[in-house]
Amino acid sequence: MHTDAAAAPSRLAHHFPDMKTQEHAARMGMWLFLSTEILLFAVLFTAYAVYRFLFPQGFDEASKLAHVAMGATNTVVLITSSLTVALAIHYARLGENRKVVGLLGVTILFGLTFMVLKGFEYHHHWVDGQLPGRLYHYAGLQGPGVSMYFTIYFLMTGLHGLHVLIGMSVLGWVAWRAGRGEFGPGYSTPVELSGLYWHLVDLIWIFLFPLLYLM
Amino acid sequence: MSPSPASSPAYNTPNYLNAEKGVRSWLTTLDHKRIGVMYLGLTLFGFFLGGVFALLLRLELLTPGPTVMDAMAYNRMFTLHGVIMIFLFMIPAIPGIFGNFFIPLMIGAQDVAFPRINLLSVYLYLLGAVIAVVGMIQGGTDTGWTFYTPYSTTTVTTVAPVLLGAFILGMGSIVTGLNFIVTVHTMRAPGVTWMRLPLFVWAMYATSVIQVLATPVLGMTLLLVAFEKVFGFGIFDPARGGDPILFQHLFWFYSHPAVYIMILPAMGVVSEVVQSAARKNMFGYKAVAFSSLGIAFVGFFVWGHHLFTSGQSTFASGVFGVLSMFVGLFTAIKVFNWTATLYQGAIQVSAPFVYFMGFLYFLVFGGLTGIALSSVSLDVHWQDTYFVVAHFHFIMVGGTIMAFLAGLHYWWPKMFGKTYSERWALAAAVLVILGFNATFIPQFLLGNMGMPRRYYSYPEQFQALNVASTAGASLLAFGFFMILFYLVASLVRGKAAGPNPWFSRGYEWNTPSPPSLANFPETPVIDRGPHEYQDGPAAEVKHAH
Amino acid sequence: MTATTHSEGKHLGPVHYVLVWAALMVLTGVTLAVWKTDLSHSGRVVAALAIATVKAALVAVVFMHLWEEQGIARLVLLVSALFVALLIGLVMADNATRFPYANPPYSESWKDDPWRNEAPPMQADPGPVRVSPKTATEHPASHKP
Repeated sequence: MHTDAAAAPSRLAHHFPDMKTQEHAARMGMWLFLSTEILLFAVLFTAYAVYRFLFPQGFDEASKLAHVAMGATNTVVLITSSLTVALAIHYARLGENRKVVGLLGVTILFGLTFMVLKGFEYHHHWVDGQLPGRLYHYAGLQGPGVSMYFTIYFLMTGLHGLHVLIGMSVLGWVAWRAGRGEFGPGYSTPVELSGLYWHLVDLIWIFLFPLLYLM
Repeated sequence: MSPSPASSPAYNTPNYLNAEKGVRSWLTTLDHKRIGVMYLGLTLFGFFLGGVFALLLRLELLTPGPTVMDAMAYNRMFTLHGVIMIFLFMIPAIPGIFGNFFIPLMIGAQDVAFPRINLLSVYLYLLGAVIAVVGMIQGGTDTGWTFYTPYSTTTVTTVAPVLLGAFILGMGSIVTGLNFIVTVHTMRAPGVTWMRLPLFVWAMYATSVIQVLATPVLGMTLLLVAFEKVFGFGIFDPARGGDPILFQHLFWFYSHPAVYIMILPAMGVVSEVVQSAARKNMFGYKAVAFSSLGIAFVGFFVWGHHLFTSGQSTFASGVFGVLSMFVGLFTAIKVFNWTATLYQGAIQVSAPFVYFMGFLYFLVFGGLTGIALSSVSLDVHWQDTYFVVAHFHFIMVGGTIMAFLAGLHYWWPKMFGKTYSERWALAAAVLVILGFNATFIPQFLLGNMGMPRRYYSYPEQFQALNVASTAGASLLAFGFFMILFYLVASLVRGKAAGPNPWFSRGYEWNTPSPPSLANFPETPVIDRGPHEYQDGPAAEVKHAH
Repeated sequence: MTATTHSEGKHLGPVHYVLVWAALMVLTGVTLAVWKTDLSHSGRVVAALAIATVKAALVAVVFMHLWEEQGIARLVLLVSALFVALLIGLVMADNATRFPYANPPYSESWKDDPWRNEAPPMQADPGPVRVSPKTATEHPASHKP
């Protein structure tokens, strides 16, 4: 791995004709990867749609047990973190690596906030016995479809949370590279690709929040 | 091998095989050709394992009642056979071997777009394969390769490892597909326009789209089964409000398109073989190219035909049944174009051509039974009988493996620079095709008589046909060993093949055999379509000298 | 396809990003406001999904640079969305038109009972969804000091 930001040609792999093609390929690869992520979540969205359709009342009552205040806060946190990532990409393209480090640092802090709040939510559900499938033992709400809501809730938010953690790690690595002054007008692909990933995580949460908390 | 010019003994010249030496250079290689060869070794080993289990199944079915194993062992065997054949051979074989080796050669590129990710896919395959196979043997998984709930979540055997293994194998498959899509988009040499892409590349492109879009669904679904089995999440458990049929929907949303992951590359291979064998351009290039995309697209709308008898609504069954027939439409387009390509061609009867003819017959026969199966009323009779087993083996073994063998024989001189014994190859091809017919035609009859699949025992009146099937399987196995024998022999003592023993006009034959490490001395500029046999078929043979 | 990825002049800047962020915030507020109204059930679902789709589109087009990206990225996203819709749509079409008892026990579709409750249920009827108001404190696990 080269560290010199000015040495753009050296980043060119032997099998690509020029840097532009290489970056285009990288971006296309990332978009295809994002589409696999979307289809991965699609399974859970399908399960959600089916079970909500089959158990409207159970899902209705169960979703009232979700912690809307924390969920809404997390929505704000995640959307704002998307803004900071978008700005980081902007400054990476301008070569202002310090700003990139700062913005990505803030993004990671937002991600941490998200996970901590999520942890509180999980803790509450755990304490109350609002758990998936056979683990569900909350006396306050019983009936068909109720435990299924929590199965779906934990699977969806769990998978999403895992993606937040991965996103934070990747952004941390990119921030470290920005700290070494690697990015500039000729080369900002890692910031852009990790940013795309983070935005997708945000995008999925945008659907998860109303579906799981506000129905 | 056809009369070979064999003028240049290219084997001692620098090529991808001898550019670097040692095991380490293979394990860390980023070269797409070496990765293709690694896939060849790995998937053939998978094929061998799956074949051994198939023979054990056929041995058990030689007599009614227990022959060599009990019911439980039989269930484990067919699970091993199914999982290994599908995930370790059928899905990765043609993309992994020929896709990796030939896509860059066919588009004039030095490598695939992401060589490191390409190597990763080999290791994902290896890891997933080990986890799945060891998990199945250790845990005695007896669910069949479909892992249907609620059986898979309640069986006493271990299921989670094979699910994890299949998940990892799926990641490898996704990575391969993603790599090919980006490669075709960004790595084409000057002059290789979309309408000049070889038809194999078109087929691989369509396959890759399915791999990228469908495989994640399988991965997540298998994880859900594992969660349910291990933690009791209840997502497919009716006692907790779960819908087992939802599992089947999600499973077949991948696994039906996966059938096209297996057959589309095969169609691509034979499209190349038929043009070279007939010395004619594809009769309808665009029709064949776009029908690949058509199959990939329509293939996503038909998964419900696996659920006709499992509680799916009659309405949905009707919709899926009608949609399923559209696949036949696109397949027919291809079949007609292949046959029209043969018309008035200067056909060389070679091993690849014989396999192509076998492929055509199996695909049409298997495809027509498929259309019959897609009508709900007929399927109710045939569901879960040997008729279905014979149908998909006609497409998968008869179609894909014939095409795989056609490709292997067609490209072998390019991949390894050596010729094999043409006489042995023709004999083996005839044996394999005969053996295959003898194995599966009796199964069509058995299924229509009502013999259900997945039982280790059967009533006595079915024995004659079962014996015929087992005899056919033995013949088939013998044919495969013959192929292995003369191909290995060709590596040791085969003559140098020369750059273009078939006088083919495919782009990949513009390289030396075996190709050099960098594929082309400099980026090629292409000014013609693939397989442009301009001077008419007869003149072309002379012209090629 | 050539390798141009960003056509100059179409670049988005910080101002655009902040504006989109503000719009996303407002739309989050709208989502919450709709939730508080006593709109009908299906009305809320439609509203929530519509707003979420608009928000997602904003993120995709501006934050994810689909605005300046070449066709392929848009195509990938649209095709993915199409297949997600396909999966959800066809599976739900099945559940909605199934023979009621082929759906999970005591799900909504069991209420259109074709046998008019003549056949005994296969398992004990869990009854309707029951909410007991004071429950959070009833459960022993929540009595932690």
